[in-house]
Amino acid sequence: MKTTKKILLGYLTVHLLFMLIIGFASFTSFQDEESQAKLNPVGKFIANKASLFETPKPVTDFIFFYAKYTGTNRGYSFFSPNISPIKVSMRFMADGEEIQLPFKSPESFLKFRSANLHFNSNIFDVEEREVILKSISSSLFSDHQDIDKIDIYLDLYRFNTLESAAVDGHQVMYKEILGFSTTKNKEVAMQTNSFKK
Amino acid sequence: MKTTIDNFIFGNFISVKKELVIKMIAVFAVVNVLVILPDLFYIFGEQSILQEAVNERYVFWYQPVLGWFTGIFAYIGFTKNMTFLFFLFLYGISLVCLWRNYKRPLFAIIVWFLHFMFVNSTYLFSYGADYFVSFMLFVNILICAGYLFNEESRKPLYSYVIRFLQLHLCLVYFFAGIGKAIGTDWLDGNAIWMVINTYTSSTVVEGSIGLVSYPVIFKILAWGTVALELFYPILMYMKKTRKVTLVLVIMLHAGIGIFMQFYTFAVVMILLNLIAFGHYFNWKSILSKEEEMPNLQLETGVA
Repeated sequence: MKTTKKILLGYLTVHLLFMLIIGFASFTSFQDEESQAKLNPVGKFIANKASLFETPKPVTDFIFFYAKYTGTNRGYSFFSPNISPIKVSMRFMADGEEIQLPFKSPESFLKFRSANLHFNSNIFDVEEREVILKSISSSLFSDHQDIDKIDIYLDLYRFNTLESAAVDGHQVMYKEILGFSTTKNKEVAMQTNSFKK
Repeated sequence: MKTTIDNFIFGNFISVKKELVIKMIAVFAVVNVLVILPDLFYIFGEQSILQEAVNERYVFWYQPVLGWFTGIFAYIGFTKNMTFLFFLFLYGISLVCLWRNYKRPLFAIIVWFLHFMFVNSTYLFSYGADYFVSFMLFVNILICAGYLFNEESRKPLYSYVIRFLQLHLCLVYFFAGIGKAIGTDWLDGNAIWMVINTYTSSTVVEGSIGLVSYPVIFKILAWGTVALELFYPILMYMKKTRKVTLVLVIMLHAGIGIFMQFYTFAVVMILLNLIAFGHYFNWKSILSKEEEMPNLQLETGVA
């Protein structure tokens, strides 16, 4: 038992060390000028010192491997450091009518929202964007055999800040953008130049 | 020092019953599938909204995916949907075995592996809750591994797993808190306002509009959340604050579940907290029989 205990204590130490490295190293993503502008002075200090937790690539790869297998790789900085005032959602239209996603359960919609967030954050990556849109369209085309073109709209909502809402009241800026169109042969065309960086 | 650490890690015999913990995890894993049951094929199957090839772009070669097996199963005439159903059936059977205490260490590994494979296969559909479920099933392996040892060794091993989970949760909340504390939105209360606008229903938004004239309410909620998460490691181990901290953490997750509709995330976090610290409630029926054992040095001194 004595040896088992030593092994277990060693493993616990390594696990916690890995979690510390993952946690602090994740703050290195706030080191660029744009991200720093969104941080408070303490945040800037932590982000700049986070590099101390960066490890050589083979070690990082091993930590990443371990974290993937234990479900701990995504870090824990939920809803932080700030929350975007913009909400973007995808809407699928064909012949002027909205095509509903086939999901029935709220949990599935939540899962789709997660994919939507990924799509939004990679919207300028043409390859990434097309792969996702082609996949979604392909599934919708097979469910709706009668349609051969789907227009994908992005509904953008921008909310005013709490400070502004206290003075001017709750204001929501809404913008509908016809982002993309897909045809049955899976061609994706960008409809507007709204997404140029 | 050595004895104190040893006592802290291996001598904590006051915890929620192992049997109850394993069964709660098994039930949760079943419910986790049931909540997406009507849409399973749109998430995992041939008609998936985000097909296998799309999801597999984001996973590493060493992460198991359904695609590893669809080719092999095709040789015996299984379609992709049939292959998925086979693994889902295996997942269900394994959970039953966990519940029935039949070869628990083996089936804990199978359950964890299959869940991990399902999550990898639907990478873009997966979010925080799925990773916490993965972690919980990993912890379940550690709990069930105790069955490989003799009766005498099981108690310290279970104590080790509970401490492992407790310390892991301390880091989870600490980093969740520090992440919020480095920005500006959580300090001026704007974060709560934005969460309400972007993640809750129109009813909640309408109900909150009247409160914008009192920004202090938003500040208290935001600061409260940050403080609770950031100081969770301390508050959970202090005798005077631990019970109220556990209640507040459960309320926080219940709020996330009810208002933001992150049901799975809310339940898995509440469950993890109850497994780790549920014994603070001192409900006799859920505690291990060993609770009458003399308390530990560190437990009385710090906790």
